[in-house]
Amino acid sequence: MRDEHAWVRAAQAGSVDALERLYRAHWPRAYRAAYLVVHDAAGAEDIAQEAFLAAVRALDRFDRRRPFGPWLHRIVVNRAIDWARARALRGEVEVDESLAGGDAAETDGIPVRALAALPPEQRAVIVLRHLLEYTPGEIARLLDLPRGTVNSRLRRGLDALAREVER
Amino acid sequence: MRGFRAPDELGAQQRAWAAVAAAFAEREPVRRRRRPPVRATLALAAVAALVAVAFTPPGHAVLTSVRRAIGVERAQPALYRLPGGGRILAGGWLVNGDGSTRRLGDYRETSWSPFGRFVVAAKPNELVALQPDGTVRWTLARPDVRFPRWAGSHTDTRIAYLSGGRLRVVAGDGTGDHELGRAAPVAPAWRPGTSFALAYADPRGRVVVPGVLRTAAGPRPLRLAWSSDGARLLVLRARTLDVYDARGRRLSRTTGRFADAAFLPGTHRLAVLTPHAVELLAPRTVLFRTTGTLRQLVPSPDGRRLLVTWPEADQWLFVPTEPGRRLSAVGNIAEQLGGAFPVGGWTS
Repeated sequence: MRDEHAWVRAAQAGSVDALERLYRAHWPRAYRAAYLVVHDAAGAEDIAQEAFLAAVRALDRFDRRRPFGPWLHRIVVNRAIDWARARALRGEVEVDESLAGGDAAETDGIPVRALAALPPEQRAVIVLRHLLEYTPGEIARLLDLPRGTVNSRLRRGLDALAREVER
Repeated sequence: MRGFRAPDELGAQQRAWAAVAAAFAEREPVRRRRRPPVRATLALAAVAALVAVAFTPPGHAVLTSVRRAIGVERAQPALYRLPGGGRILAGGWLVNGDGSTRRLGDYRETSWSPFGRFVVAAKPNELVALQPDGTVRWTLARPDVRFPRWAGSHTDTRIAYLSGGRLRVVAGDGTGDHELGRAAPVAPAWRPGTSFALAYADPRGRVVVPGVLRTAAGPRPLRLAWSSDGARLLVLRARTLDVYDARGRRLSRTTGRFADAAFLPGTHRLAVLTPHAVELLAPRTVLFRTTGTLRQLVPSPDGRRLLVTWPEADQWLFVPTEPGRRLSAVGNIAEQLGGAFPVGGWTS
Protein backbone atom coordinates (compact mmCIF):
# COMPACT_ATOMS: atom_id res chain seq x y z
CA MET A 1 0.00 0.00 0.00
CA ARG A 2 2.88 2.33 0.84
CA ASP A 3 4.37 1.54 -2.56
CA GLU A 4 1.05 2.36 -4.18
CA HIS A 5 0.85 5.80 -2.57
CA ALA A 6 4.41 6.47 -3.74
CA TRP A 7 3.57 5.35 -7.29
CA VAL A 8 0.50 7.57 -7.41
CA ARG A 9 2.50 10.54 -6.14
CA ALA A 10 5.30 9.91 -8.66
CA ALA A 11 2.84 9.39 -11.50
CA GLN A 12 1.15 12.67 -10.64
CA ALA A 13 4.58 14.27 -10.90
CA GLY A 14 4.97 12.79 -14.39
CA SER A 15 6.82 9.50 -13.84
CA VAL A 16 5.82 7.00 -16.50
CA ASP A 17 7.77 4.34 -14.60
CA ALA A 18 5.54 4.84 -11.57
CA LEU A 19 2.43 4.73 -13.73
CA GLU A 20 3.61 1.47 -15.27
CA ARG A 21 4.13 -0.07 -11.84
CA LEU A 22 0.65 1.01 -10.85
CA TYR A 23 -0.71 -0.37 -14.11
CA ARG A 24 1.03 -3.73 -13.80
CA ALA A 25 -0.13 -4.09 -10.21
CA HIS A 26 -3.78 -3.44 -11.05
CA TRP A 27 -4.33 -4.56 -14.65
CA PRO A 28 -4.80 -8.32 -14.06
CA ARG A 29 -7.55 -7.95 -11.45
CA ALA A 30 -9.27 -5.16 -13.36
CA TYR A 31 -9.27 -7.21 -16.58
CA ARG A 32 -10.40 -10.41 -14.82
CA ALA A 33 -13.21 -8.57 -13.05
CA ALA A 34 -14.40 -7.05 -16.32
CA TYR A 35 -14.18 -10.41 -18.05
CA LEU A 36 -16.20 -12.23 -15.39
CA VAL A 37 -18.96 -9.63 -15.70
CA VAL A 38 -19.11 -9.35 -19.49
CA HIS A 39 -17.76 -12.78 -20.58
CA ASP A 40 -16.18 -11.29 -23.68
CA ALA A 41 -12.41 -10.93 -23.89
CA ALA A 42 -12.39 -8.00 -26.34
CA GLY A 43 -15.10 -6.22 -24.37
CA ALA A 44 -13.23 -6.78 -21.09
CA GLU A 45 -10.03 -5.45 -22.63
CA ASP A 46 -11.83 -2.33 -23.82
CA ILE A 47 -13.46 -1.81 -20.42
CA ALA A 48 -10.24 -2.24 -18.45
CA GLN A 49 -8.34 -0.04 -20.88
CA GLU A 50 -10.99 2.68 -20.72
CA ALA A 51 -10.91 2.52 -16.93
CA PHE A 52 -7.16 3.10 -16.91
CA LEU A 53 -7.49 5.89 -19.46
CA ALA A 54 -10.11 7.50 -17.20
CA ALA A 55 -7.73 7.09 -14.29
CA VAL A 56 -4.92 8.77 -16.24
CA ARG A 57 -7.21 11.65 -17.19
CA ALA A 58 -8.24 12.12 -13.56
CA LEU A 59 -4.83 11.43 -12.03
CA ASP A 60 -4.14 15.02 -11.04
CA ARG A 61 -7.40 15.22 -9.11
CA PHE A 62 -6.90 11.90 -7.34
CA ASP A 63 -6.67 12.08 -3.54
CA ARG A 64 -3.36 10.37 -2.75
CA ARG A 65 -4.52 9.33 0.71
CA ARG A 66 -7.15 7.02 -0.78
CA PRO A 67 -6.33 3.57 -2.15
CA PHE A 68 -6.16 3.38 -5.93
CA GLY A 69 -7.71 -0.08 -6.33
CA PRO A 70 -11.29 0.63 -5.20
CA TRP A 71 -11.37 3.79 -7.30
CA LEU A 72 -10.35 1.82 -10.39
CA HIS A 73 -12.60 -1.16 -9.63
CA ARG A 74 -15.61 1.11 -9.26
CA ILE A 75 -15.05 2.37 -12.82
CA VAL A 76 -14.40 -1.12 -14.18
CA VAL A 77 -17.41 -2.80 -12.62
CA ASN A 78 -19.88 -0.03 -13.43
CA ARG A 79 -18.74 0.04 -17.05
CA ALA A 80 -18.88 -3.73 -17.24
CA ILE A 81 -22.45 -3.75 -15.93
CA ASP A 82 -23.45 -1.11 -18.52
CA TRP A 83 -21.73 -3.10 -21.26
CA ALA A 84 -23.44 -6.39 -20.28
CA ARG A 85 -26.85 -4.71 -20.01
CA ALA A 86 -26.45 -3.12 -23.44
CA ARG A 87 -25.48 -6.46 -24.92
CA ALA A 88 -28.45 -8.19 -23.31
CA LEU A 89 -30.75 -5.53 -24.79
CA ARG A 90 -29.35 -6.32 -28.21
CA GLY A 91 -30.06 -10.01 -27.59
CA GLU A 92 -26.50 -11.13 -28.21
CA VAL A 93 -25.26 -14.46 -26.88
CA GLU A 94 -22.97 -14.07 -23.89
CA VAL A 95 -20.56 -16.94 -24.36
CA ASP A 96 -17.04 -15.98 -25.26
CA GLU A 97 -15.31 -18.10 -27.91
CA SER A 98 -12.61 -19.10 -25.46
CA LEU A 99 -15.25 -20.87 -23.36
CA ALA A 100 -17.30 -22.22 -26.18
CA GLY A 101 -15.65 -25.61 -26.45
CA GLY A 102 -13.81 -28.16 -24.33
CA ASP A 103 -13.77 -28.08 -20.57
CA ALA A 104 -15.59 -25.20 -18.97
CA ALA A 105 -13.32 -22.91 -16.96
CA GLU A 106 -13.80 -23.03 -13.21
CA THR A 107 -12.79 -20.66 -10.49
CA ASP A 108 -12.87 -21.96 -6.91
CA GLY A 109 -15.60 -24.37 -7.86
CA ILE A 110 -17.73 -21.69 -9.53
CA PRO A 111 -18.11 -22.56 -13.20
CA VAL A 112 -17.54 -19.47 -15.29
CA ARG A 113 -20.35 -20.60 -17.56
CA ALA A 114 -22.73 -20.68 -14.60
CA LEU A 115 -21.69 -17.16 -13.67
CA ALA A 116 -22.55 -16.05 -17.19
CA ALA A 117 -26.14 -17.19 -16.64
CA LEU A 118 -26.68 -14.60 -13.87
CA PRO A 119 -27.87 -11.03 -14.44
CA PRO A 120 -24.93 -8.62 -14.71
CA GLU A 121 -25.77 -6.89 -11.41
CA GLN A 122 -25.48 -10.22 -9.53
CA ARG A 123 -22.31 -11.14 -11.40
CA ALA A 124 -20.80 -7.80 -10.42
CA VAL A 125 -21.34 -8.21 -6.68
CA ILE A 126 -20.09 -11.82 -6.76
CA VAL A 127 -16.96 -10.71 -8.61
CA LEU A 128 -16.40 -7.82 -6.20
CA ARG A 129 -16.87 -10.14 -3.22
CA HIS A 130 -15.07 -13.28 -4.35
CA LEU A 131 -12.48 -12.08 -6.89
CA LEU A 132 -11.63 -8.63 -5.58
CA GLU A 133 -12.45 -9.57 -1.97
CA TYR A 134 -14.38 -6.50 -0.89
CA THR A 135 -16.73 -6.71 2.07
CA PRO A 136 -20.45 -6.20 1.42
CA GLY A 137 -20.16 -2.75 3.04
CA GLU A 138 -17.33 -1.78 0.71
CA ILE A 139 -19.27 -3.09 -2.29
CA ALA A 140 -22.27 -1.02 -1.26
CA ARG A 141 -20.10 2.11 -1.20
CA LEU A 142 -18.40 1.24 -4.52
CA LEU A 143 -21.68 0.72 -6.37
CA ASP A 144 -23.71 3.35 -4.49
CA LEU A 145 -26.17 0.71 -3.31
CA PRO A 146 -27.84 0.04 0.04
CA ARG A 147 -26.02 -2.69 1.90
CA GLY A 148 -29.18 -4.78 2.01
CA THR A 149 -29.34 -4.74 -1.78
CA VAL A 150 -25.76 -5.96 -2.00
CA ASN A 151 -26.48 -8.78 0.46
CA SER A 152 -29.62 -9.86 -1.37
CA ARG A 153 -27.86 -9.83 -4.76
CA LEU A 154 -25.04 -11.88 -3.30
CA ARG A 155 -27.43 -14.38 -1.75
CA ARG A 156 -29.58 -14.73 -4.84
CA GLY A 157 -26.56 -14.96 -7.09
CA LEU A 158 -24.84 -17.64 -5.02
CA ASP A 159 -28.08 -19.61 -4.73
CA ALA A 160 -28.49 -19.51 -8.50
CA LEU A 161 -24.88 -20.60 -8.95
CA ALA A 162 -25.42 -23.51 -6.55
CA ARG A 163 -28.41 -24.63 -8.59
CA GLU A 164 -26.33 -24.41 -11.78
CA VAL A 165 -23.52 -26.44 -10.23
CA GLU A 166 -25.93 -29.15 -9.03
CA ARG A 167 -27.35 -29.65 -12.53
CA MET B 1 -11.93 -16.92 -7.50
CA ARG B 2 -8.36 -15.91 -6.72
CA GLY B 3 -6.99 -18.49 -9.11
CA PHE B 4 -9.07 -17.35 -12.07
CA ARG B 5 -7.25 -16.25 -15.20
CA ALA B 6 -8.99 -14.50 -18.10
CA PRO B 7 -8.07 -15.27 -21.74
CA ASP B 8 -4.87 -13.75 -23.12
CA GLU B 9 -4.18 -11.66 -20.02
CA LEU B 10 -0.64 -10.77 -20.96
CA GLY B 11 -1.51 -9.84 -24.53
CA ALA B 12 -4.39 -7.68 -23.38
CA GLN B 13 -2.14 -6.04 -20.78
CA GLN B 14 0.52 -5.20 -23.36
CA ARG B 15 -1.98 -3.86 -25.90
CA ALA B 16 -3.74 -1.69 -23.37
CA TRP B 17 -0.49 -0.39 -21.88
CA ALA B 18 0.45 1.19 -25.20
CA ALA B 19 -2.78 3.22 -25.17
CA VAL B 20 -2.47 4.13 -21.48
CA ALA B 21 1.15 5.22 -21.85
CA ALA B 22 0.26 7.31 -24.90
CA ALA B 23 -2.54 9.03 -22.99
CA PHE B 24 -0.21 9.63 -20.05
CA ALA B 25 2.42 11.17 -22.32
CA GLU B 26 -0.12 13.64 -23.65
CA ARG B 27 -1.74 14.62 -20.38
CA GLU B 28 -1.18 18.10 -19.08
CA PRO B 29 -0.54 18.11 -15.34
CA VAL B 30 -2.55 20.63 -13.33
CA ARG B 31 0.50 22.19 -11.78
CA ARG B 32 2.69 23.50 -14.54
CA ARG B 33 6.01 25.16 -14.35
CA ARG B 34 6.12 28.83 -15.18
CA ARG B 35 6.99 29.22 -18.79
CA PRO B 36 9.12 31.99 -20.21
CA PRO B 37 7.18 34.61 -22.19
CA VAL B 38 6.06 33.18 -25.52
CA ARG B 39 7.23 36.08 -27.67
CA ALA B 40 10.71 36.05 -26.20
CA THR B 41 10.94 32.30 -26.66
CA LEU B 42 9.84 32.49 -30.28
CA ALA B 43 12.25 35.30 -31.07
CA LEU B 44 15.11 33.42 -29.44
CA ALA B 45 14.23 30.25 -31.33
CA ALA B 46 14.09 32.11 -34.63
CA VAL B 47 17.51 33.69 -34.07
CA ALA B 48 18.95 30.32 -33.04
CA ALA B 49 17.52 28.66 -36.14
CA LEU B 50 18.94 31.33 -38.44
CA VAL B 51 22.36 31.03 -36.87
CA ALA B 52 22.17 27.26 -37.12
CA VAL B 53 21.14 27.35 -40.76
CA ALA B 54 23.85 29.80 -41.65
CA PHE B 55 26.84 28.35 -39.86
CA THR B 56 26.55 24.76 -38.71
CA PRO B 57 26.07 21.32 -40.30
CA PRO B 58 23.02 20.55 -38.11
CA GLY B 59 21.60 23.72 -39.58
CA HIS B 60 21.23 21.94 -42.88
CA ALA B 61 19.00 19.41 -41.15
CA VAL B 62 16.82 22.25 -39.84
CA LEU B 63 16.63 23.74 -43.32
CA THR B 64 15.73 20.36 -44.78
CA SER B 65 12.93 19.87 -42.29
CA VAL B 66 11.55 23.31 -43.13
CA ARG B 67 11.61 22.40 -46.80
CA ARG B 68 9.95 19.11 -46.05
CA ALA B 69 7.11 20.94 -44.36
CA ILE B 70 6.37 22.61 -47.67
CA GLY B 71 6.62 19.48 -49.77
CA VAL B 72 8.96 17.04 -51.44
CA GLU B 73 11.67 18.74 -53.42
CA ARG B 74 11.84 18.17 -57.18
CA ALA B 75 8.15 17.27 -57.36
CA GLN B 76 6.76 17.15 -60.87
CA PRO B 77 4.88 20.36 -61.59
CA ALA B 78 1.99 18.45 -63.21
CA LEU B 79 0.48 14.97 -63.26
CA TYR B 80 2.04 13.72 -66.52
CA ARG B 81 0.99 10.13 -65.84
CA LEU B 82 -0.10 7.94 -62.97
CA PRO B 83 2.77 5.78 -61.67
CA GLY B 84 1.51 2.22 -62.07
CA GLY B 85 -1.40 3.27 -64.28
CA GLY B 86 -5.08 2.87 -63.52
CA ARG B 87 -7.66 5.60 -62.91
CA ILE B 88 -8.18 7.83 -59.89
CA LEU B 89 -11.25 9.73 -58.75
CA ALA B 90 -10.71 12.97 -56.84
CA GLY B 91 -13.77 15.08 -56.14
CA GLY B 92 -15.44 15.77 -59.46
CA TRP B 93 -12.36 14.80 -61.47
CA LEU B 94 -11.27 11.59 -63.11
CA VAL B 95 -7.51 11.18 -63.62
CA ASN B 96 -6.46 8.62 -66.22
CA GLY B 97 -3.24 6.63 -66.28
CA ASP B 98 -1.78 8.74 -69.11
CA GLY B 99 -2.25 11.90 -67.07
CA SER B 100 -5.33 13.11 -68.91
CA THR B 101 -8.11 14.39 -66.70
CA ARG B 102 -11.84 14.69 -67.16
CA ARG B 103 -14.16 16.89 -65.17
CA LEU B 104 -17.21 14.82 -64.27
CA GLY B 105 -19.14 17.60 -62.58
CA ASP B 106 -19.45 19.66 -59.47
CA TYR B 107 -19.27 16.78 -56.97
CA ARG B 108 -17.81 16.88 -53.50
CA GLU B 109 -17.15 13.14 -53.28
CA THR B 110 -17.00 10.30 -55.77
CA SER B 111 -16.25 6.58 -55.66
CA TRP B 112 -16.07 3.66 -58.07
CA SER B 113 -18.59 0.91 -58.72
CA PRO B 114 -17.16 -2.58 -58.00
CA PHE B 115 -15.65 -3.09 -61.47
CA GLY B 116 -14.87 0.53 -62.24
CA ARG B 117 -17.63 0.77 -64.87
CA PHE B 118 -19.57 3.51 -63.10
CA VAL B 119 -19.07 6.29 -60.61
CA VAL B 120 -21.32 7.30 -57.75
CA ALA B 121 -21.08 10.93 -56.71
CA ALA B 122 -22.40 13.14 -53.94
CA LYS B 123 -23.71 16.65 -54.28
CA PRO B 124 -24.94 18.48 -51.18
CA ASN B 125 -28.53 17.45 -51.91
CA GLU B 126 -28.24 14.76 -54.55
CA LEU B 127 -26.85 11.27 -55.10
CA VAL B 128 -25.74 10.79 -58.71
CA ALA B 129 -24.75 7.66 -60.66
CA LEU B 130 -22.77 8.35 -63.80
CA GLN B 131 -20.49 6.83 -66.39
CA PRO B 132 -16.77 7.62 -66.35
CA ASP B 133 -17.31 9.87 -69.39
CA GLY B 134 -19.55 12.07 -67.24
CA THR B 135 -22.92 10.91 -68.61
CA VAL B 136 -25.43 10.90 -65.76
CA ARG B 137 -27.41 7.63 -65.46
CA TRP B 138 -29.74 8.62 -62.64
CA THR B 139 -30.05 10.99 -59.70
CA LEU B 140 -31.74 10.80 -56.32
CA ALA B 141 -32.56 13.95 -54.36
CA ARG B 142 -31.69 13.52 -50.67
CA PRO B 143 -30.47 16.06 -48.08
CA ASP B 144 -26.81 16.35 -47.12
CA VAL B 145 -25.52 13.37 -49.11
CA ARG B 146 -22.11 12.04 -48.08
CA PHE B 147 -19.83 9.00 -48.39
CA PRO B 148 -21.46 7.08 -51.26
CA ARG B 149 -20.05 3.57 -51.58
CA TRP B 150 -20.99 1.06 -54.29
CA ALA B 151 -20.77 -2.76 -54.04
CA GLY B 152 -22.00 -5.95 -55.66
CA SER B 153 -21.68 -8.18 -58.71
CA HIS B 154 -22.21 -7.63 -62.45
CA THR B 155 -25.93 -8.28 -61.98
CA ASP B 156 -26.80 -6.95 -58.52
CA THR B 157 -25.26 -3.82 -57.01
CA ARG B 158 -26.13 -1.55 -54.11
CA ILE B 159 -24.99 1.84 -52.96
CA ALA B 160 -24.72 2.82 -49.30
CA TYR B 161 -24.55 6.50 -48.39
CA LEU B 162 -25.26 8.89 -45.56
CA SER B 163 -27.99 11.49 -45.73
CA GLY B 164 -28.55 13.86 -42.82
CA GLY B 165 -26.93 11.53 -40.29
CA ARG B 166 -28.87 8.47 -41.57
CA LEU B 167 -27.41 5.48 -43.33
CA ARG B 168 -29.33 4.62 -46.48
CA VAL B 169 -29.01 1.97 -49.21
CA VAL B 170 -30.26 2.14 -52.79
CA ALA B 171 -30.01 -0.40 -55.62
CA GLY B 172 -27.46 0.27 -58.36
CA ASP B 173 -30.26 1.28 -60.75
CA GLY B 174 -31.50 3.96 -58.35
CA THR B 175 -34.53 2.04 -57.09
CA GLY B 176 -35.53 0.78 -53.64
CA ASP B 177 -33.90 3.53 -51.61
CA HIS B 178 -34.40 2.89 -47.87
CA GLU B 179 -33.00 3.86 -44.50
CA LEU B 180 -30.99 1.50 -42.29
CA GLY B 181 -30.63 3.70 -39.21
CA ARG B 182 -28.60 6.49 -37.66
CA ALA B 183 -24.92 6.60 -38.40
CA ALA B 184 -21.80 8.56 -37.53
CA PRO B 185 -20.18 10.60 -40.32
CA VAL B 186 -17.81 7.85 -41.43
CA ALA B 187 -17.75 6.21 -44.85
CA PRO B 188 -19.51 2.82 -44.63
CA ALA B 189 -17.59 -0.15 -46.07
CA TRP B 190 -19.10 -3.00 -48.05
CA ARG B 191 -17.45 -6.36 -47.61
CA PRO B 192 -16.03 -7.36 -51.03
CA GLY B 193 -18.09 -9.96 -52.83
CA THR B 194 -21.80 -10.46 -53.11
CA SER B 195 -22.74 -10.93 -49.44
CA PHE B 196 -23.70 -7.24 -49.07
CA ALA B 197 -22.33 -7.17 -45.52
CA LEU B 198 -21.95 -3.52 -44.61
CA ALA B 199 -19.71 -2.11 -41.87
CA TYR B 200 -20.72 1.29 -40.50
CA ALA B 201 -20.35 3.35 -37.34
CA ASP B 202 -23.33 4.33 -35.24
CA PRO B 203 -23.58 7.74 -33.49
CA ARG B 204 -21.91 6.37 -30.33
CA GLY B 205 -18.86 5.27 -32.26
CA ARG B 206 -19.78 1.58 -32.25
CA VAL B 207 -18.83 -0.26 -35.41
CA VAL B 208 -21.59 -2.51 -36.65
CA VAL B 209 -21.68 -5.30 -39.19
CA PRO B 210 -25.24 -6.60 -38.81
CA GLY B 211 -25.28 -10.15 -37.48
CA VAL B 212 -21.50 -10.25 -37.17
CA LEU B 213 -20.01 -7.44 -35.13
CA ARG B 214 -20.98 -4.66 -32.76
CA THR B 215 -18.02 -3.11 -30.95
CA ALA B 216 -18.14 -1.18 -27.71
CA ALA B 217 -18.86 2.54 -27.94
CA GLY B 218 -15.77 4.66 -28.47
CA PRO B 219 -14.24 7.56 -30.32
CA ARG B 220 -15.66 8.03 -33.81
CA PRO B 221 -13.80 5.84 -36.32
CA LEU B 222 -11.84 7.58 -39.06
CA ARG B 223 -11.84 4.69 -41.51
CA LEU B 224 -13.54 1.34 -41.98
CA ALA B 225 -12.07 -0.91 -44.66
CA TRP B 226 -12.14 -4.57 -45.62
CA SER B 227 -9.26 -6.56 -47.03
CA SER B 228 -9.79 -7.40 -50.71
CA ASP B 229 -10.76 -11.02 -49.84
CA GLY B 230 -13.32 -9.82 -47.27
CA ALA B 231 -11.63 -11.81 -44.48
CA ARG B 232 -10.43 -8.83 -42.42
CA LEU B 233 -12.00 -5.55 -41.36
CA LEU B 234 -9.93 -2.65 -40.11
CA VAL B 235 -11.40 -0.10 -37.74
CA LEU B 236 -9.24 2.98 -37.50
CA ARG B 237 -9.69 5.52 -34.73
CA ALA B 238 -7.37 8.44 -33.96
CA ARG B 239 -5.49 6.36 -31.37
CA THR B 240 -6.19 2.74 -32.21
CA LEU B 241 -6.19 0.46 -35.22
CA ASP B 242 -8.20 -2.72 -34.66
CA VAL B 243 -8.42 -5.65 -37.06
CA TYR B 244 -11.35 -8.07 -36.92
CA ASP B 245 -11.90 -11.33 -38.73
CA ALA B 246 -15.02 -12.12 -40.75
CA ARG B 247 -16.71 -13.55 -37.63
CA GLY B 248 -16.29 -10.31 -35.74
CA ARG B 249 -13.44 -11.42 -33.49
CA ARG B 250 -10.77 -8.85 -32.85
CA LEU B 251 -7.40 -10.15 -34.00
CA SER B 252 -5.13 -7.25 -33.15
CA ARG B 253 -4.98 -3.74 -31.76
CA THR B 254 -2.24 -1.28 -32.68
CA THR B 255 -1.99 2.00 -30.82
CA GLY B 256 -0.49 5.27 -31.93
CA ARG B 257 -1.59 8.43 -33.72
CA PHE B 258 -3.26 7.66 -37.00
CA ALA B 259 -4.67 9.63 -39.92
CA ASP B 260 -5.60 6.83 -42.33
CA ALA B 261 -5.06 3.13 -43.02
CA ALA B 262 -5.74 0.51 -45.67
CA PHE B 263 -5.02 -3.11 -46.49
CA LEU B 264 -2.64 -3.66 -49.38
CA PRO B 265 -4.79 -5.27 -52.11
CA GLY B 266 -4.49 -9.06 -52.23
CA THR B 267 -2.94 -9.24 -48.76
CA HIS B 268 -3.77 -8.72 -45.10
CA ARG B 269 -0.83 -6.35 -44.67
CA LEU B 270 -1.69 -2.92 -43.36
CA ALA B 271 -0.46 0.41 -44.62
CA VAL B 272 -0.98 3.23 -42.13
CA LEU B 273 -0.68 6.96 -42.30
CA THR B 274 0.32 8.79 -39.17
CA PRO B 275 0.19 12.58 -39.35
CA HIS B 276 3.83 12.67 -40.39
CA ALA B 277 4.73 9.26 -41.82
CA VAL B 278 3.70 6.45 -44.13
CA GLU B 279 4.30 2.99 -42.69
CA LEU B 280 3.65 -0.68 -43.31
CA LEU B 281 2.90 -2.90 -40.31
CA ALA B 282 3.97 -6.45 -39.41
CA PRO B 283 6.84 -5.90 -39.72
CA ARG B 284 6.79 -2.16 -39.19
CA THR B 285 8.51 -0.38 -42.02
CA VAL B 286 8.63 3.38 -42.36
CA LEU B 287 8.28 4.26 -46.04
CA PHE B 288 8.27 8.05 -45.80
CA ARG B 289 8.54 10.60 -43.03
CA THR B 290 8.05 14.37 -43.01
CA THR B 291 7.42 17.29 -40.70
CA GLY B 292 4.34 18.19 -42.73
CA THR B 293 0.82 16.85 -42.17
CA LEU B 294 -0.32 14.02 -44.42
CA ARG B 295 -4.04 13.50 -44.99
CA GLN B 296 -5.12 10.42 -46.93
CA LEU B 297 -3.70 7.09 -48.10
CA VAL B 298 -5.02 5.10 -51.07
CA PRO B 299 -3.30 1.90 -52.33
CA SER B 300 -2.85 1.33 -56.04
CA PRO B 301 -4.83 -1.60 -57.50
CA ASP B 302 -1.73 -3.81 -57.51
CA GLY B 303 -0.66 -2.71 -54.01
CA ARG B 304 2.79 -1.64 -55.18
CA ARG B 305 2.25 2.05 -54.51
CA LEU B 306 0.43 4.21 -52.03
CA LEU B 307 -1.08 7.51 -53.08
CA VAL B 308 -0.64 9.87 -50.14
CA THR B 309 -2.26 13.29 -50.20
CA TRP B 310 -0.48 16.23 -48.63
CA PRO B 311 -2.83 19.22 -48.91
CA GLU B 312 -0.68 21.82 -47.17
CA ALA B 313 2.12 21.13 -49.66
CA ASP B 314 -0.43 20.85 -52.51
CA GLN B 315 1.19 17.54 -53.47
CA TRP B 316 0.31 13.92 -54.16
CA LEU B 317 3.02 11.43 -53.25
CA PHE B 318 3.30 8.03 -54.88
CA VAL B 319 5.11 5.96 -52.26
CA PRO B 320 6.42 2.54 -53.34
CA THR B 321 5.64 -0.35 -50.97
CA GLU B 322 8.55 -2.43 -52.22
CA PRO B 323 12.24 -1.69 -51.70
CA GLY B 324 14.27 -0.38 -54.59
CA ARG B 325 11.61 1.85 -56.11
CA ARG B 326 11.71 5.62 -55.96
CA LEU B 327 9.09 7.82 -54.42
CA SER B 328 7.60 10.32 -56.84
CA ALA B 329 5.69 13.48 -56.06
CA VAL B 330 3.40 15.70 -58.07
CA GLY B 331 2.71 19.32 -57.16
CA ASN B 332 0.06 21.90 -58.03
CA ILE B 333 -2.76 19.42 -57.41
CA ALA B 334 -5.33 22.05 -56.44
CA GLU B 335 -4.68 24.02 -59.63
CA GLN B 336 -5.00 20.92 -61.82
CA LEU B 337 -8.08 19.47 -60.12
CA GLY B 338 -9.82 22.65 -59.02
CA GLY B 339 -9.21 22.01 -55.31
CA ALA B 340 -7.76 19.53 -52.84
CA PHE B 341 -10.56 16.98 -52.93
CA PRO B 342 -10.56 13.64 -51.14
CA VAL B 343 -9.42 10.79 -53.37
CA GLY B 344 -12.42 8.57 -54.04
CA GLY B 345 -10.53 5.50 -55.19
CA TRP B 346 -7.86 4.11 -57.49
CA THR B 347 -9.04 1.40 -59.85
CA SER B 348 -7.38 -0.54 -62.66
